[in-house]
Amino acid sequence: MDKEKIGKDNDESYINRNMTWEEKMAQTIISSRRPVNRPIITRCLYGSQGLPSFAEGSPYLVPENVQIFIRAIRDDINLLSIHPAKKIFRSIDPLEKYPIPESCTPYVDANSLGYYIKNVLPLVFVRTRKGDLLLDSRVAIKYLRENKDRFSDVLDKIEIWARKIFRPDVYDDLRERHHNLLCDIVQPYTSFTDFHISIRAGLWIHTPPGISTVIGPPLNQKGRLSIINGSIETDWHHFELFVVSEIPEFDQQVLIIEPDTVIAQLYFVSRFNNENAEIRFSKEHHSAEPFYAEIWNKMGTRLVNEGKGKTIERKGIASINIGCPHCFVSVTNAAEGELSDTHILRRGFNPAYKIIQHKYHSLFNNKKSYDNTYTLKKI
Amino acid sequence: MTPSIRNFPHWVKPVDHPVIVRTCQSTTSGMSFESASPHLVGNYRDIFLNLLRKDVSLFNIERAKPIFRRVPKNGEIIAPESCTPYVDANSLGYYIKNVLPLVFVRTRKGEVLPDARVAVKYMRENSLDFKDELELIEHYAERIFSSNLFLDYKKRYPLLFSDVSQPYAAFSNVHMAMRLGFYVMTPLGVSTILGPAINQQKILPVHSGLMESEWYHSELFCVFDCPDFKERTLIIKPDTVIAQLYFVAKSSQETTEIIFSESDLGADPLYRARSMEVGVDQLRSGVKPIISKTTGIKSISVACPHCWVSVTAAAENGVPDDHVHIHDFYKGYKALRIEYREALKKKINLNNQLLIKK
Repeated sequence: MDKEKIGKDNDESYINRNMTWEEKMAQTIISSRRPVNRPIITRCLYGSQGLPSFAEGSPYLVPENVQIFIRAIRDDINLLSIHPAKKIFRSIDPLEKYPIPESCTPYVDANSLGYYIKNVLPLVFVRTRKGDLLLDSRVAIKYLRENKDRFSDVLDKIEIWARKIFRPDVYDDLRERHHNLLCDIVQPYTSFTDFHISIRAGLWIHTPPGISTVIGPPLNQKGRLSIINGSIETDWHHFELFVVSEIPEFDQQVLIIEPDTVIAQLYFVSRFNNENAEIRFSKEHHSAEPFYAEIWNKMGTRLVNEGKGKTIERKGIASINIGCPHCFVSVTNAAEGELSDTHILRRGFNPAYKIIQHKYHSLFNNKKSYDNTYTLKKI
Repeated sequence: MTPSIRNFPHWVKPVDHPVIVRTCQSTTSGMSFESASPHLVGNYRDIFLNLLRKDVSLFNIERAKPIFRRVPKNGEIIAPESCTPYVDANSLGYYIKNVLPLVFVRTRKGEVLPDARVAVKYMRENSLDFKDELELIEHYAERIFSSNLFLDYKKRYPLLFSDVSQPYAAFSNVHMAMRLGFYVMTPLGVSTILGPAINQQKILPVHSGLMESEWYHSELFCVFDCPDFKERTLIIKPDTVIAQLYFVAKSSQETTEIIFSESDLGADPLYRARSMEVGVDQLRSGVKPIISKTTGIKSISVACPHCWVSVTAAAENGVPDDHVHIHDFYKGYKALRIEYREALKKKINLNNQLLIKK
C-alpha cells in the first residue's frame, strides 16, 4: 500500500515538474473528475442561471413573482424528458408485406440506439398576422395571450398541459391569483441564428473517456422538427446540452407539437475509434472475414435447407432480372408488355444474423464480466 | 487476454481498433462489379473479369469532413460551421461514395426498374431515348478496368466496357439495397452505424442500420427507399456521398445511468466553475465572442421593455432599424477542449517517459 503511494507521489511530482501553470490547472480539473465507466445522464431541476429551467417558458416571470413560481414548480422534473429508444416505433399493419423493415435486426437495433428526447410541455410556434414567425417561446405565448380572442383554443390547451409541471396542491391554491404565470407556459426555445432555434435539454452527461454524445433527429423516423446533429465531447464537457433545430415550416398561424413527442435521439459514439480506424484492402477475402464467411455460409445454407428462412415472391416489374432468359432477350418488352402471373422472382432471407447475435450475447451472460472487459479495454 | 476475449467463438477475430477491409470479391465468390453489367453471358464474363481491376471495391471510403460546403462569408450571419459539436458530428467516421454512376430508370409506363443491370439494359435497348445517360455511364466505365488494355478491348467489345453502373437491387416493393464491398471489424462493445450523411441533404433516402461489427465480419450493405423522381432517369454521379459510417459505443447505451439533481445548475458544479473562469479569462484577454445580431421580427424579446408592453404591436407594426437583439457565443467549449486534449496528451507522454525510465 505504502509502496503504491510512494510510486504515485513520485509520478505526480515528475508530472508536475514538467507542466506550465495552465497545464497544471487543466490537470487539476481533469484529475478532479469523478471517473465513470458508464455514461451518467444528470437531469437538472435548475438551469445555469440558477432558476428552475421552466422559468424560460413563461413571459410573466418577473423578480416579484419568482418565489411563487419556485414554490409551485415540481422538484422532480427537467426540461426535456429522456426515454430508452424503441425498436419499433409505429403500429404495423398485419397485412403489410414481408419483408417489413422491422424484420431487419440492424434496422431495429439502430432504431433503439440510446434515448429519445421528448418535450414535457407543448412546443408552440406562432406567426403574426403578417405571417412572420416569432422565434422565442415566451414572445410566442405572450402574443397568443395578447390576442386571446383569436387563440382561446390554443391557450386552453396550453393551460391544461402546463399543470403537469406544478405541484398539484400549490397550483390549485395559486392558479386564480397568478393565472398567467402558472397557465401561460410552454416548452422553452429561443432563436439561435436566423435559421435555427435552440431548445435547452435540462440535463448534462458524463461519459467514459473517448465516448461522445450525439444528439440528432430520431433514427429512421420522420421527426416533427428538423434537428441538426451535434457531437458533444461529454467525457469532459459536463454542461447543459441543448437541441438545435431548423426553424419549422408550417402553413397555419400556430404550430403545436404536443408534449411527449420524440424530438430528438441521443446516443453515444466512440470518438477514439472514429479517429483511429484503419482501412485495408484485400484481394482474397470474399467480402467477409474468411473464418466468419465459412460459418456464415454453412449456416445460411442449412437454415434454408431446413426451411427456416423466408422466401418472398415478387411479381410484375419487380420480378424482372437479368438472370431470367426471357427478360434478358428484351428488358423493354418485359417491362412494358404484360408479364404472366407465373413470372416470379424469389428472394430468400435467413435469420443467421439474429441467431449469431443471440449466441454471441449469450457468451456474455455474465453481464458483469462483459462490463468489466469493456471498461478495461476503454481505460 | 481478458476472460471475455477467451470466450470468443473461434470465428470472431478480435481487434483493438476498428479495421475496415475493402474487398474486390463478393460473398458469393464472384467479383463485386460483376453485378454492374447486364452483358456477362458466355465468354463475355471471362473477358470482363480479366480486365476488371483487382484493387477497386464497390464503394470508396473517405474520412468524413467537418465542413462539406462552401461557407458563405457574411458577417451578419453565423454559419453552423462555427459550432464545434456541429462540425464534430459532420466529421464522424467515414463517407461512403459510389465508384460508378447510380442509375435509376422509369419505363414508359412510369414504373421504376428494380435492378441496376436491368436499368442499364433497358436504356441500351432504347438508346435513342437515353443517349446522354449512356454517354455519361460510358465516360465513367473506365474507372473499374485496367487502363493499359482498356481502349483495345473497348474497341472490340464496346457495350461490354461501356454499360456498367453502380450495382443495386430492389428487395421489396418499397426498398432497395446496395452492396458496399467492404466489411468492418470493431473492438468489443463498439458497433458500426451506417446511415444518411450527417447534416447533409439526402441524395438517397438511406435507412440507418446498426451492425454489431465486433462479431459480424461480413459485407455491409446499404438499404434505401425506392427513390422518388419525376423524369425518366435519376442519375447520381460517381463520388457522391451516399451514406456515412461511424462507430457507436453500443455497450455504453446499455449501461447508462440516469440520475436527477435538484442542485446542479445545468452542469457539473466543477465544470461550471471552470467554464465561467474561461469565459471571464477570454473577456479579459480580449477574445471576442461570436456575435449574431437579429433585427426586425427576429429581434423581439420579452426581456426588452418595449416589446414586453405589447409583443403584438412590436411584431405587427414593426420595430425600428436600431432594434437589435444580440446573441453572443463565447468560445469556452473550444478552449476547454484544447485544455482537456493537451492535458491528456501530456499525461500519455509522461506515462510513456515513466515507462521508459522504469
